[in-house]
Amino acid sequence: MAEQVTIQVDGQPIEATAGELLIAACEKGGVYIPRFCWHPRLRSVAMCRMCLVEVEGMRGLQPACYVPVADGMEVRTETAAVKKAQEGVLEFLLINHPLDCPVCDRGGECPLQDQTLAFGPGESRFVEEKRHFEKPIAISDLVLLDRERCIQCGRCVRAASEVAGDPLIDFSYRGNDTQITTFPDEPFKSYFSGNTVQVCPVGALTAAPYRFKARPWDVSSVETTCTACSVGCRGVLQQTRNTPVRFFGADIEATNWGWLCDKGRFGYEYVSHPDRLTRPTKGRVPVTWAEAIDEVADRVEDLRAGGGAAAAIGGARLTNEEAYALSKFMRVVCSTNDVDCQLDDGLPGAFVAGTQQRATVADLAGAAAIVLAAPDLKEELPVLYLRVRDAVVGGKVALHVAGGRQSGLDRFATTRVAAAADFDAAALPAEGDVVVVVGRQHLGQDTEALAAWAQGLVASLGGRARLMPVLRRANAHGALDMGLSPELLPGRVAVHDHQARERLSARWAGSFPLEAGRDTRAILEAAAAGRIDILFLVGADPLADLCDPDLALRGLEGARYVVVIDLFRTAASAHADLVLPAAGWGEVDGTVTNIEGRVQRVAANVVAPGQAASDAQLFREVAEALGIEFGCGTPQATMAEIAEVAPAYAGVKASAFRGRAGREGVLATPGSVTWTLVGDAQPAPSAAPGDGLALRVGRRLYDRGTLVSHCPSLAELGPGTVVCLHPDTAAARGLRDGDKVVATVGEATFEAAVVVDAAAVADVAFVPHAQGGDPLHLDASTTVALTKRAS
Amino acid sequence: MAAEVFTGELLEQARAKVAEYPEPRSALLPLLHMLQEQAGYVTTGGMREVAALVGVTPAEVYGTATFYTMFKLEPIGRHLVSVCTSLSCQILGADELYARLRDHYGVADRETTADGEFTFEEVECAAACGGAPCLQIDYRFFEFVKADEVVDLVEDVRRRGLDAVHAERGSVLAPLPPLEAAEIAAGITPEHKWTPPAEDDA
Repeated sequence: MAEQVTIQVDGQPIEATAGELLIAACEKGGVYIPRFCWHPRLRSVAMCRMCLVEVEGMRGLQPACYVPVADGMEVRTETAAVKKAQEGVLEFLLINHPLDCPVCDRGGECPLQDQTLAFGPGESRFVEEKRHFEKPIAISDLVLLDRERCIQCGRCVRAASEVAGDPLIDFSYRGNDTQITTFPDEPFKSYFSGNTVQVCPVGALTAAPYRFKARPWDVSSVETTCTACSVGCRGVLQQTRNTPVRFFGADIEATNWGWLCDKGRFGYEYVSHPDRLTRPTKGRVPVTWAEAIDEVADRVEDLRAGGGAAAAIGGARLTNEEAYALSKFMRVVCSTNDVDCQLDDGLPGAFVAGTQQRATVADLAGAAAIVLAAPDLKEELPVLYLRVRDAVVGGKVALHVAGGRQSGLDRFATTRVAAAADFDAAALPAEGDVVVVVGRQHLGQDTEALAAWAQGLVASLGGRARLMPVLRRANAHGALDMGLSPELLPGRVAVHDHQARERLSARWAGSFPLEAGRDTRAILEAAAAGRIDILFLVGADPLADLCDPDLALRGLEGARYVVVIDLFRTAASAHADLVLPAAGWGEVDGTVTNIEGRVQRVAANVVAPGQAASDAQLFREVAEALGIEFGCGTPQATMAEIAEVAPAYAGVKASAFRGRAGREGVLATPGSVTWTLVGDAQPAPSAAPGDGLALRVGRRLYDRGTLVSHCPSLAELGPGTVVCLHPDTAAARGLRDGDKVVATVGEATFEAAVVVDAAAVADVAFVPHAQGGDPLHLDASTTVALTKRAS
Repeated sequence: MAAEVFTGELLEQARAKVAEYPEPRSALLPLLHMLQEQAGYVTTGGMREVAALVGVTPAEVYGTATFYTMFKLEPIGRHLVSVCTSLSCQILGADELYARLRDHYGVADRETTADGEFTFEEVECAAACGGAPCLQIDYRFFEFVKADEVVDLVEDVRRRGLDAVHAERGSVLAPLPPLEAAEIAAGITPEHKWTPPAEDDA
């Protein structure tokens, strides 16, 4: 524990931590010292000179962002000398900064504007012409730069290099023309470029999607949780005229420290896309909600009377409260455990929900070592990448990479092995905590074996291991916790757990099997065999995401009655008997659960389009139409019910989210379900036969999936259909970067462009998933043959 | 990406230069000089190679190169004519001098003649105030230049070559091997060359 000291600021005592920066200590003590270049999450550089103060015993004015506090330090922030310095700095900054606030996006929330008003001289003696530049220039696909507004604080440069590890922008043309630029032929291609806009203290950097869209005093804001992936970054969603126009990061210690990835930051665009589903349709014919509810209720009633079978796939998009309603509906109303929120592309549900020594994101920085047996975090869980990077950069925490694609983190790795099974635990330090991050590394991977490996590693390390199982989809962790898994009930308990069933029976008036139900694959197999009477697809499209597209198609065609509940039309909705419009992120209140098991609030800020409604509403109304008391009338009521019946969520109450501490969310407590590998792990696939290369299909941040393709700013940023090859592998096949090839996988063929990538694994063809082509049939041994096309 | 500028002997010279400094990044300026000497200007690809050699980001190399106006980021003509228009020269007619050149060759500031022979630029004080107005051709000084004679001077260089035309002082770039030329351009003549002090036993 760092030493607590007392300093005197303008005659008042302020408690501080020894070594803390003076500017931060003062701010905590209620004394605001103006600043431009200093940012609490970035390295101090003392460039802008706005934070000069007097410190007793130190000669001249001192930059408060560079002076560590010491006990008894006497500081004066309001003397004539300080005032003169502040006025001087502002007068200098305004020599060239245009007074175009009325047409500047930052106007109204601009630190330069605010601090000029509070600390500036009010008059300028400068009468000469200001600097002029061509405006704006695009420094990335998403960020625009108006150079004349820049005050050269360098926050953006530091955010890009220190935080994101993408040092692609810097000062150039130093002198009268000082400006921020990229290297001439290297755009600021970073998944974290939007953070530079957020830290810019003037209107120099603006986000293309927000530019000229709204005035800061004209937007209404809510703090909510991003669901672009499952890291659970907090941010502020702003809307005007019922249209989301901006999302920016909130500085939450537990998760994102104020940072966001660009997909999270700009991914709000789909919410107001004109293609959103707005009314229930039967075939192509619009029906009313009442008709839709009646129809589903009739079908469910037949099924209840005649012993038919229902199943549900999906639910990772839903809030915990909606997922709970779905889980309850399937169990109580449809009497089945055939529910699965995963599409055979995650981890065993009980393995995730049953994690005991579960790691938090904050544990990463305090660990002695991190073992990474996960997908490329930058592509799938970008802000987790930032936090792992922060922990390992400079060797603070040892990093061990156990399999998976090479990533930007590899250069920090102490050891790297090609497959998790090859990892040698002897490489770990003898003492200190070890965080094991485990997740599906590529599509089609045998994740049971991976989970068993992680379980073994954690067991071998005893109490010093922390496990972080990571699933990618928005609220996949919350959906599992709510029992959207064939073997789980709400609260991280097994479906056959008598105690849990007893607790549920107070609220769940209906019976459901003791045995685990079918998972997504098995549901689709059963549907293909004509054994599923009603199939609910809740925000899930097996045709696009299942590694076995033939099975998905057979399943959808074989199911007697398919209900799709989604935001947009999908490939699967073409096979639906009934399509219902759902309300999604930004439109519903509730909670979501992140990779740590941290439950955080999501808040509604816009009204869903047309007749779109929360997924929970359908299930409740169908149940009530059948005369079943269902509850779950409001998210608040559902939250209270979950706390009552699911012990892991006992602490998740509305009151827990109030105040400053509530913004950090609530960690759900470990559940009682256990998972063990049944049977043997499949042997590792042998080398690819003949001409074929081993095929690895993985996710990229930007794809052509439903949500990204409905965000105009992001839709074109994906790599397209490409095959990434190691330089040696490409050379051995006479292929060069940009060559067009025809790739053959099983019976499917597709055209792709070759990307020669030094980070690729030799003798493996990496194909990013969902870039416009059809999904491929994948398992651990899938191979691909490449034939060069004459250009 | 394969190196295109720093190969063979030049690469060895560059590595030796980097090794002279306790911090590799200190060799950034000398290497940029070598690049400019070799390629004629500071090329984008060359800057990448420099970045890799001294261990900084390409953006930082660019940031450094753009600070110094004597590093050219675009190709220039066979000869570079730099007209000083700072105070002493301006008072003694540099603006007129420069206008005559631009009018005669039909170019604007920092433009190159269509035949690729000359690039003209206006520069800050060339430190020859005693000989104002002055201009430099390939960094060799020509002092007390008269507006009526300036076009003749430039044409003389075209006709007879720089060496044949009298110049007051300045460096000779072309005939030297690249590294030495770069050092001279950087103001490092052999007698000024810094050598690390011997290790002090105490």
